[in-house]
Amino acid sequence: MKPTTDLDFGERFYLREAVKGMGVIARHFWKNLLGFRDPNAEIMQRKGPGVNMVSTMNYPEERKAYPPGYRGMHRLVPRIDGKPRCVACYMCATACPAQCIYIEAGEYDDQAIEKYPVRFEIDELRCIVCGFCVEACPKDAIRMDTGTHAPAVLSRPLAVFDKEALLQGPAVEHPSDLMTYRVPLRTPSADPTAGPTSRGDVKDH
Amino acid sequence: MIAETPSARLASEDFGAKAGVKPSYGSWLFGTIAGWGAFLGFLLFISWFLLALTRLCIWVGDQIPLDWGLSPAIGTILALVLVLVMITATLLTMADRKWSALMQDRVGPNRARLSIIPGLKDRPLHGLPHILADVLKMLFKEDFIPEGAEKNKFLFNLAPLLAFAPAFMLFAVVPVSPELTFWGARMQLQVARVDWGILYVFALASVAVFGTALAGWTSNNKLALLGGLRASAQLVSYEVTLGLTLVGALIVFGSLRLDVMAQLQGMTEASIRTAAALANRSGDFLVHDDSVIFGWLPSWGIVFQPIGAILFLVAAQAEIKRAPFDTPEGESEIIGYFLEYSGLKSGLFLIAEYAETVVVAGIVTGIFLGGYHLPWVEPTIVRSADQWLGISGFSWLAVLQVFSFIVKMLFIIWVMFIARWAFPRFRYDQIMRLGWKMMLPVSLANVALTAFVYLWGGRDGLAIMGLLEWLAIFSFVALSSRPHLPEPAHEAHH
Amino acid sequence: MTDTDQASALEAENDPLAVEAEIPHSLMTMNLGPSHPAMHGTVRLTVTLDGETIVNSVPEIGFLHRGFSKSSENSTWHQVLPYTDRLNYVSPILNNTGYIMGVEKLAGVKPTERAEYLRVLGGEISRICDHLTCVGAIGLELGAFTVFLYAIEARELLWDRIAELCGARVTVSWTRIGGVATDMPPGWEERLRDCLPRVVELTNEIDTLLTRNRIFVDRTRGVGVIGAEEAIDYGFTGPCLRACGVNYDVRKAHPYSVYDRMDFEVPLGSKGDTYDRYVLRLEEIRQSHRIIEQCLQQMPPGPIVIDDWRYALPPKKEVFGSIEGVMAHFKLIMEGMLIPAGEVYVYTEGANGELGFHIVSNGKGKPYAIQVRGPGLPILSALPRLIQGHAIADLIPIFDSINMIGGEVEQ
Repeated sequence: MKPTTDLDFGERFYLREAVKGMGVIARHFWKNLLGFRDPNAEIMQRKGPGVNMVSTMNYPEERKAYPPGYRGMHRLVPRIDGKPRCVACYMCATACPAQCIYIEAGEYDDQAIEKYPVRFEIDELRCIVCGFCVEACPKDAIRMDTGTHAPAVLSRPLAVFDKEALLQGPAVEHPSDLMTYRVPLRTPSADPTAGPTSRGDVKDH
Repeated sequence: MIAETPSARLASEDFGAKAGVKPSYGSWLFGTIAGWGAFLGFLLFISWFLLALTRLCIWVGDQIPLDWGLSPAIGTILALVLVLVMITATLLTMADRKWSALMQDRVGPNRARLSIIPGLKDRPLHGLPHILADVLKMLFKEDFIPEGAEKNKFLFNLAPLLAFAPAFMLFAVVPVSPELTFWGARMQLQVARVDWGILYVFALASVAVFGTALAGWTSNNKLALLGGLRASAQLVSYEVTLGLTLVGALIVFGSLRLDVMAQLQGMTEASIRTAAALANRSGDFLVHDDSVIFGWLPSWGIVFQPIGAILFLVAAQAEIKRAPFDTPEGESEIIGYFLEYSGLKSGLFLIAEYAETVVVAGIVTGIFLGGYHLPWVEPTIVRSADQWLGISGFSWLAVLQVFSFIVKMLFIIWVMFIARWAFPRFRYDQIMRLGWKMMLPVSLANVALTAFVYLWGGRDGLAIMGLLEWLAIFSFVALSSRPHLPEPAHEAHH
Repeated sequence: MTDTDQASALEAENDPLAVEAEIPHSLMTMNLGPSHPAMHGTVRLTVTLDGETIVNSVPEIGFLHRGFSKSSENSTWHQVLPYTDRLNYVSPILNNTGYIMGVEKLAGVKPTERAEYLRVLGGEISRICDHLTCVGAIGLELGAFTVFLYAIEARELLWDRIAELCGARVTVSWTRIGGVATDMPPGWEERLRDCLPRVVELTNEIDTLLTRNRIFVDRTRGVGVIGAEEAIDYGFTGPCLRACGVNYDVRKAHPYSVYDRMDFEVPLGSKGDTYDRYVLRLEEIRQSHRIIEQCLQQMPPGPIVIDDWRYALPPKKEVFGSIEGVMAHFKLIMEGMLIPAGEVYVYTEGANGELGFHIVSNGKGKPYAIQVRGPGLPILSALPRLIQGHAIADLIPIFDSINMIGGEVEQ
């Protein structure tokens, strides 16, 4: 198919298309002037009597929640006893294309799990938010489901998040965890995956 | 407070989604009506204020024993140039951004706050504080003169003034009100009632080109030089069309004086008085306005000269370098003739552009849109408002006339802004082609046709010609050979 | 201008009989960019001007060079994906798809049916985004700012949908060997169907504002003309080539993925000028919209990634619960996917033209070499030819209409 590209006689006189174009703009103008802005973060849902076509947000005052699967700031997922699920296997650090994860492994003496990260640091300035660490984790120990982005910092060292800063959010437990614990922490609950979901989450348990 | 550790830092940030509150339909309706009411009330107040300010100056002049007769002129300069043009131009800097935001589905600037005033700490006030913020920004910015411009420092500094001053001087001949009696004094809201009104407009419009050309040349910058060159060629070319489009209006009104032109588009004070007196005797409520043609058509310039009016608006848009004729600025190609200016000098160029917009709108209103005249209702207003609150009907009418002038002016400004945001920019040679090969012949033909029709049929003949022209323009615009765009086919799979 | 030139010019000026005396003039050299409003931030043009006419121009690229090829050699096959996001950063899903198709060809695996449809769906949304950006930029830099904001408004709606689908707005890294990373979230299809009419409406408004407006037509018609022969010689592909009337669209000429099941048309231009390139992009937005509708209609249920533990990560259930799963997972992460040795060139229809990936594998977990044939580079190389003899104001629409994206040109 070929789009028609020749102007007809009337269009060569500027005026007709000028009026049409100004009509489009004027329609927006009056509709927006006489209506009010619906601050609904979901722009397609800004409907109703009197609502105009403005499709922006007043950012710091109004914020849109990131969608559920959004790759945001990392978190280290805690076990139900509050310790990180991480077993310091270095898989996330290996999978990371930006090499932003630094791990130092340590050993528990008498805990249910043998290995744990002594240091677990993520440089959020290096992070490219690809989510490969979440995919790589065999323990569901790192997720990007915080629904936030990495905060702005005033100096580079502040962007390096340590284990304490990363360990947050609801605890997660999988039935398969039982196999890896020497001593069960507790009997698994009825709904083990309650809490935020993410790409690394297991839906069919 | 800056948090020390990353975790504290993270905790101090609030990333939660927050939604504003959707206003209810009723409050929106109320707000809209109240807002429009306040806007119209403000315009009415300004109209009264302009008259009162001039009257005050006349009163002050009367108290001074020296009789130089300057007080009305000083009063109108204060009222029109400093209040009307300056304030409108200042507000337009904001309106340009807010209106463009409305056209583009945005909110527009609203971040500036008047935090020092306690009650206004977190109120955006629809972005109005930005005017103040912009002024302060331009005042306090470093006034930087590039090394290349040092040797022409005088001309470099002169250029913004040459661009700025003519814009304001132009308003001297624009009549904002008829000659009227206000609080016992004869006065008129027009700075200079001179026989060479239109010629003055053309002459001063030409002066503005010096500012632009000088700015481009003295900046010693290649991009600015290109801008200056484009500006000088464009401005000189469009002066021809600008002049010729008004010749038709000169034929219609038979005068170079803008106040006479404006006066002829409605009833004179004397005829209003007569009509009102006659109506008083016969007891009619509606008083016939005898200035209308065929008994219903306001005798505005735009009725006699549709083509002249449209061409004049376009040529004026080119003359003041507003988009789509903003090649001298052309911010995506050459950054513009004022590229090397900073601080308030740059601000002068920008505000001059808005002031020129106001002036052009004022001239168009005065010549083509009936000036300060309200069609059909002038005698009725005088008759029914007479002695209301102890003020004569003519004073009420005067305020309403100034109000109508301002409203018409704002409408023209709005149209110019719509055009500014709707169209792409011309190329430099296409502007020349449009000016010399399309607009100039058409305006010449318009002059010839107007003269011929005037000799043949007088004013009524011109009115018939104008109506036919309007008919032709409307049908030309409405009849499009291009099929409508396809509707989105999205409902099929639901 | 030398002194002798000046002297002879002055002499000629003083000669009353020399009516044809040459006005002394010289050429002006000017730098446009790298920070110039029309240069999209990343390219420098040194133009030689005669008055306002461009005599000669030299584009200089490399301000956005990131060493894509070399970086890829040090990454596992999946780790290259984020680099491909940043090739054409306006339509990353198309790059992801192109790259991963090459790896799949080497590995000899076929993605699942649903993943194919998802890739086409995401790719066409990305294509709309890319074309909207280009059309908007043409409007913006010609002075029609409103057009740009309408385009951005539409693009924003689509990017929101992409964020819901892929987990990121621009840097999606969405495809995987044998499938894609995430499925459509619940309710996503309805949201997409909701916002597509608005996108079409805004596109139509852009159409009304620009396409038949004589100011715009004068600015773009006959500007930056290139003939079909010459365009092929330069290596043009995509909308810029089709604007010359050459019917070459990889989606039609060599259908890949599920494009052979889609009913769409390839719009063609005739003159090969800026206007045709603009009109083509608008029309392709409409065609992409058709493809999206068909994708949504035909989308089969099923897995989004193959169940082949040599190349695709095992499902998390297996990783958490079985020793086989965790071992396969460990091998895939630590070593990378062991793609069989070989060499492959895969070409897909990117938003700006044929996006080719030449991938060499030596059987290890990392690519041996990857080269990209970005569609932008050959087109940009023709820029001096396109703008020669035009006014400096024409440079803007020409440069916009070829839609140079720094990421894919400079890699």
